Amino acid sequence: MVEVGFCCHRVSTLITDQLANGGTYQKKEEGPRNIAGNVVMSLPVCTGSDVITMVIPGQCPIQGAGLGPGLQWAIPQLSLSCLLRNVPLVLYISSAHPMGASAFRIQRVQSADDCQDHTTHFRPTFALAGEPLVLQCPPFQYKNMDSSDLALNLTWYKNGSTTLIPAGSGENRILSQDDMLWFLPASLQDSGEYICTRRNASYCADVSIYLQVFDKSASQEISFPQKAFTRSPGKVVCPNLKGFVQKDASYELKWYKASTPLNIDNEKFTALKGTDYLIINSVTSDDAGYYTCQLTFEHETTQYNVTRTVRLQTLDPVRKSIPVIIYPTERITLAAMGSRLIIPCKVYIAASHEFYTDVWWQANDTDIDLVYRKGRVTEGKRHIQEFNTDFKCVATNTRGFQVHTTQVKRE
Amino acid sequence: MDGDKVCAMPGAQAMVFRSRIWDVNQKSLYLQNDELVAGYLQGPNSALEEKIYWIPNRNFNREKFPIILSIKDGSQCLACSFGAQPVLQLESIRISDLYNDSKEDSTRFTFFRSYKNGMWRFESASHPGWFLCTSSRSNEPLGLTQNPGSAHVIDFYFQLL
Repeated sequence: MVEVGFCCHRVSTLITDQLANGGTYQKKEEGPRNIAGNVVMSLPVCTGSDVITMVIPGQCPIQGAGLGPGLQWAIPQLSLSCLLRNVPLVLYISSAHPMGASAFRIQRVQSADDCQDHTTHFRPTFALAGEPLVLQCPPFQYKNMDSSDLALNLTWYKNGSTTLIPAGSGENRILSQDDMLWFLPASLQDSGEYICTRRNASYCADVSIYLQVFDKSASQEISFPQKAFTRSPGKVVCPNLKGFVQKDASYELKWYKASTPLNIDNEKFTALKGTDYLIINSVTSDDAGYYTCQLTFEHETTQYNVTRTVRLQTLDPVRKSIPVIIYPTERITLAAMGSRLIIPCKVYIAASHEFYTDVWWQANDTDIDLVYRKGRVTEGKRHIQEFNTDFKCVATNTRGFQVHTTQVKRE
Repeated sequence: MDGDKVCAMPGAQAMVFRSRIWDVNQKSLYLQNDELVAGYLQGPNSALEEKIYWIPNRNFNREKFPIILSIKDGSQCLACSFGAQPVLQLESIRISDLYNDSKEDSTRFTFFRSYKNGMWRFESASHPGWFLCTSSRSNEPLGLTQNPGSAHVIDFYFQLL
């Protein structure tokens, strides 16, 4: 019996088993392998142009890391064209024969979609029925290789369906184009799991994307939360228009607040052509609510409306005032030798949040803990005392206006 | 530099602040393939937004608001890689462990926070002139830039929670 060496580069799994002739097998993870003996291997994917090369043992036909041109086998003096397209295979080498007489059979073991790498996109996509929709196959990274660097074919199908989604344009309502899947338009029945598969001869990765299509009345449920601070300009952005804004087009969005068209008068609201945002020139708390932007999108001869709904929350800006050290006020603090001394540093921060105020001690311009490493002098913890009531004295006449604020403090 | 690690209060506990950060284009932060990316989260997906947990870094001049930023309850910190062209990384280190670290050890985790027109910028302490930035496109990683502009957005809103 002649020992046959097999080389396999980036095999997804080497299945081990005991063959009838008493050969032994080992289970291996992916990576370059060189195994002697009778082996059952699971090939990743073959395409019509791939050749499983069988050559003299001991030489790995592909060296080095990376995906390379694909999987190859090494077996004596025989070439076998791969017969099956897009199907992972198990190649059984039933025994080792003298040179030139290897016996094998090929068996399909798993579905065509069993990729080495399967991931589920971390977030579902939500859309409205009746509107055009684009799903993009998320880019993936494999061992620091960018998917865009690899010549990988990309296909789409819906889980539960046996047919691939057709590519290109045409009559189809759902079609794939590069890494995009288009719904022109989406319908409630389109909800489900869509799988995009990237593959070449040796590698395959697929990603599941969940899509949920809502009735038009549910636009608020799938709105995009955004925030703006009052008393300053605020920006409401019409998100995720990628695919619908044609290059260089001076597109124009229509804006609505709670389905009422906004008066873009450049005083309260500004929206410029070719931009995807609305400016609220000075935000007030009344500006909170649901905003809808609408883009007209033309495909072939049909016009569609693409809408996005934004839930704008208004936030009051953080009130800040200059901190005032109210103690110590004297430059000299008297102390008795050997006694314990505590010097508080008291700071009045008015209505500011304590978080924006830092208070610390230094000794000769250096932080205390760095000067007194042994801890003879330490900085104490911060205490916050709340005095919630501002008493405000207001005086006004036609010439002017003055306010003085004071607070009541426990003695 | 072991001497710097000696503190008056060894193992002092940091007060960790929790904030929400979004860029001037309303993009919030979330994880995608273990990377912090900025984009628009829709409906129920908005729960995926990463809150920022941060502490001041006491090793630096406090007037520059030096802070250390993290996500996931302070278990993954934002760091600048070494080298002239820094890359933003997420490192699995507890922010509370960095609190008592030396200036040298914590520099690449430190950002100086500056405030202008209601927005904040975060400048790397290890790479002056480099700022935290988002891409003008959606779903792209949070990064660092020394060329702010419309392609690299460095202005953020910061809401204390």
